[in-house]
Amino acid sequence: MAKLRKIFKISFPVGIGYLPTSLAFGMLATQAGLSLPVTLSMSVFIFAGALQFAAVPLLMSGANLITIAATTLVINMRHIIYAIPLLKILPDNNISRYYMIGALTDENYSILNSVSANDCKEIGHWICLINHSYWILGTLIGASLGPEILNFIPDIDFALTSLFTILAIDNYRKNKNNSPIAIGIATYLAAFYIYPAQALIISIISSIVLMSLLSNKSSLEEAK
Amino acid sequence: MSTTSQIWISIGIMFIITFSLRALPLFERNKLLSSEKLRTINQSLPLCIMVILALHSLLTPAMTESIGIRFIALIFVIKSYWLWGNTLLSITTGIALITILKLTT
Repeated sequence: MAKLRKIFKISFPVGIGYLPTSLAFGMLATQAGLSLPVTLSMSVFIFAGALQFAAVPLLMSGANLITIAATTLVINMRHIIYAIPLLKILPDNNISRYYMIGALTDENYSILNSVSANDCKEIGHWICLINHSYWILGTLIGASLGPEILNFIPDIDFALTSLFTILAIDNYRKNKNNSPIAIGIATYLAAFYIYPAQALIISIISSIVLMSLLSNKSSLEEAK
Repeated sequence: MSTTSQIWISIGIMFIITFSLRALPLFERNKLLSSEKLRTINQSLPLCIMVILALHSLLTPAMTESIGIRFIALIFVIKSYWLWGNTLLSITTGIALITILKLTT
């Protein structure tokens, strides 16, 4: 019981952000003309917010499979690094391990990096599953309610901005390091100014390169 | 518009690519784990990526018309979460603040 309470407590912040965001996705997808089974399947199998939102117009406009594949690759490229810090602390059970890897969204990545290694190994997959359930539930409610509710809460998408900010604050409290914030802001604003359409992936790659250079510099200073 | 079968194949492709990207480090395990630098970077990366994602969702082109209002709401979210640590309160009041500011400006 204490374990269950702990899982819900850890996943609650993400759930609060996921529910309104997936609600908006469910509404927008069904408004665009996608059926309920298709909309729900996207949340069950893809489980990647930005891609799901981007895929709706692509699916409705009859985009070819190469465009779909390329869009998926560009939008989700950043996920390639998410499993790296978790490799040593993945659950032993194969199903749990592969499920946890498959459910590594931006938010789950952040949450799993902020819990202890022991919690990650023991309950990490349950945290992902509960968060995934919030996402599916929100999609179901949104698809069932229909798009009319967006007229009453037009800025519901701000929940996602708030959620990323809250997860950043939680991460900051753990390490109290200002440089990742400065690097994130600088690289994103520069990428947004130069090439706004691909600002996300450009800024993430630039940040990794910059952090790598900085870690080289500090290693050299330590060696001296 | 895509046919039903095209839509299902597209969802299958999105699933396979997304899962493969997330699972790729599992198959490069030893090489990646041996990199001390990568582990150092990974300590700071989650914070950096959350900052980037927050900015990206704030500056999405479709939202730039009310960017000033959204920025004020974001400051409120940061301040309120820093003070009280209540996710629900910060998110709902952030959205409510945008609605109120839009109505009054």
